[in-house]
Amino acid sequence: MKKLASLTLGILTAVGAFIDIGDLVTDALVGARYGLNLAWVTLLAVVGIAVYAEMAGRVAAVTGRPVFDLVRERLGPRIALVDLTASFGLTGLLLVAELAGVALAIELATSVSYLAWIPLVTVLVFVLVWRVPFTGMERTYGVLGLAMLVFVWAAVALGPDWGALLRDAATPNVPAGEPVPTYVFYAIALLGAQMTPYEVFFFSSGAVEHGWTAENFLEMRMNVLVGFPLGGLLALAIQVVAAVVFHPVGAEAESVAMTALPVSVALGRVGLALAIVGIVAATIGATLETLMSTGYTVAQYFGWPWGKFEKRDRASRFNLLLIVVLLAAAGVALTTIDPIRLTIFAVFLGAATLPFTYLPVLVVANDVRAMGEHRNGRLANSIGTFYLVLLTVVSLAAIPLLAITTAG
Amino acid sequence: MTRSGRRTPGRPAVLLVLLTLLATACVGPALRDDDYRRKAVASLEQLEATIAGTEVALDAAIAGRSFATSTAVTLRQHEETVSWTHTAFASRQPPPGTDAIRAAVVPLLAEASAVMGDIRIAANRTDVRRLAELRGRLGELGGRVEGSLREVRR
Repeated sequence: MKKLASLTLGILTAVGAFIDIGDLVTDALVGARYGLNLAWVTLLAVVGIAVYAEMAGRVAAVTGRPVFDLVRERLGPRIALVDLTASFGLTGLLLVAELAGVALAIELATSVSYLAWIPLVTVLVFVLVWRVPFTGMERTYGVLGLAMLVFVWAAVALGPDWGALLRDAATPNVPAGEPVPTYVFYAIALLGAQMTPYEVFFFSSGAVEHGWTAENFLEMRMNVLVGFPLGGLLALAIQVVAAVVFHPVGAEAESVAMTALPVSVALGRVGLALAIVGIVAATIGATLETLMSTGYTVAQYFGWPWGKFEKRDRASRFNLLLIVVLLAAAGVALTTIDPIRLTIFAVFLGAATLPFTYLPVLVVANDVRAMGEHRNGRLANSIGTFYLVLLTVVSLAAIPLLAITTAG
Repeated sequence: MTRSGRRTPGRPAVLLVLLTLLATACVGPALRDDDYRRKAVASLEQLEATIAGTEVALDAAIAGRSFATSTAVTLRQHEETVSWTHTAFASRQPPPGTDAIRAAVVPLLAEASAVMGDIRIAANRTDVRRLAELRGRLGELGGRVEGSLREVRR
């Protein structure tokens, strides 16, 4: 039981970050539009994020310092500032989307406009961040987020032609009538949604909050090996149910309501209730993660005391920043900006900034002075370099694609 | 400003032209027949996809497989999508020679908007019988949208 409880950081990171509002919407959208034609992106993302989260967790466990703390030291203040600006801006956008995502999920259960829920969700998030300890936070939302497994249940209950789905997934191609740039746009958006930079920042900062050392490698790796594949499984399940219910009839799925609809088709009201609980838990988890990550990155860059393990008055700038960022995000969400378009835009831009996040992790994980015998081996370096090259290409292609496809 | 700090005289004018172009882009006429036709096709495709999604939501509601609240939210969003698509296309200035396209597309979008409104009202009243009636009407409308899409694509 204790070992199971120790996996909650990975589960929270996976359910809250891998399955955040960006992923929920993008998975349903691509499932409805392309069937399982983009499932390969999810598999690619799971391996990539697991490799880099392991590196970031290892760095945090060996040095006692999270990734961003070392970024400035190793890459210099100027490059680190570019990284900070990109990460902070992007994570801030995602925080707006996550807050709205929680409200949209509650709207499904109440039919009261999501705008009315945003202030209440903001207060709830503030109380959680202020009052609940880190482990309590991750256990509650990690466990509640497991309700998202209802999408796997729904996929099985729909009784799809698994052979056809597997063939669809194994032979990716641009469906007839679909423009190639749009297909590539959604592939990149999916990658951006599933390899969001804040996952790495949160996981490595969480490792420090837990006080992990080299002795906790097994625990850390178990978190990576359970958490991220679980996130990938949930993402695929959302794609499968959307592919089965929406793709054959040509329906579009570009909302939280449409993401949950296939579950009610498959399992009725019980399934829908579980889906709503899971979506609320996942988006609250993601809200906490994005909020904490904005504080982590800024505090770690400037060398302020940070984290929930610190006394509040000692980490006063970190805590003040969290409050300011939360209020600003709530203010933006209340402007009636379309949260779904914002989400798609944010995850796509996120893809453009991915190398800024992952390059420093790779550099620090190879640093003999910092890592000693625990520095990257050949396998981690080969996979890490492959992903870095891939993410750089994605990053270069992202902005022109955004213009060509007018955001999908 | 240039790097040396001197103001470049042409900059404000260029900025003004760009801002004017941006401001008028929303209400300006579509320049070519092809553009207008492409926008008509995109609007009909959007309508077709929204109708298909609404049908799935209605089937779940009629079969008692979803909550009244979630059905109401889904259908309200679909009504907004159709209404927005209708307004956006109807407000576009058609170039000469495209009146037939406009005549085919705008009434369909208007009708769909009205039907979606009726569906939303019935869903808010949890009137399952009325929803079942409207499901049939929506199916028939979906068929006509498909036909119109074929015509406009030609």
